Amino acid sequence: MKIYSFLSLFKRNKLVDGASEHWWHQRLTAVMMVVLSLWVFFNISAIQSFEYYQLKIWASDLLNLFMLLILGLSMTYHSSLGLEVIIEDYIHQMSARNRLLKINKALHMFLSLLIVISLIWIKIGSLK
Amino acid sequence: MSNRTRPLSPHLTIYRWPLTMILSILHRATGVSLSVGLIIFSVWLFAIAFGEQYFTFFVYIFSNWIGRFLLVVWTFAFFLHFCNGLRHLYWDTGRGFDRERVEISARIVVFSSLLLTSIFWLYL
Repeated sequence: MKIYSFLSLFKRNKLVDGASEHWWHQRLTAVMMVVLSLWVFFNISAIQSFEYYQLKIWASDLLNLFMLLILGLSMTYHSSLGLEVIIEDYIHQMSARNRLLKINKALHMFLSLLIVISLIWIKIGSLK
Repeated sequence: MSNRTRPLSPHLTIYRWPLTMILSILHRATGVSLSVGLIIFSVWLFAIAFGEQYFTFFVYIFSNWIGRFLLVVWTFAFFLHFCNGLRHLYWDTGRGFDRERVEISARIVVFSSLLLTSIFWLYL
């Protein structure tokens, strides 16, 4: 088999598309999460108790909200990228793989939407 | 890949289990468990946003010993993935690949993630 046709076989099955972006985005979100998760950990442990209203007040503070939002989005993106690699490594049958990749993407879209909506709702609730 | 008569290269079952290999596997395993944790985290945020009744239900689920055990496992998974992730970022700069430093950094990762988990649950 010629090297071209071998590569095109991979390209057709979307095996090499965006591999470098994948690698780079995974690192970028990793570094962001190192900073943000430490920040959120230390700030959330400063509140006295993990009761409902205490948490709600803490989360509706604009800086905390902003940090939670970026952390939440980095986490969903990083998780989506990680599971993508695992699916590609262990599911060899192409149709099953592509279906699982789609489900993975949809699930993480849903999760990031859930996080964004929840955070917006917390802020709206605190304005009343 | 579907042809099962082809010979396979030696895999997990044939090697002895050095610490570096265990950590590599655990990085994946903790990654998957943290993805599950992310679902819990999103639902937790949802509960905070949309009413106290959801939140009390959430607290109720995690207040028994199974729930607490899961939370401890999740924090350990978090710190292990965190520390080993830093190790990966250090490797990405092209350093630390020789045998001794790979061994040393593996030990540092295990020790510091155990330490961080205990600090988290005993003092915070």
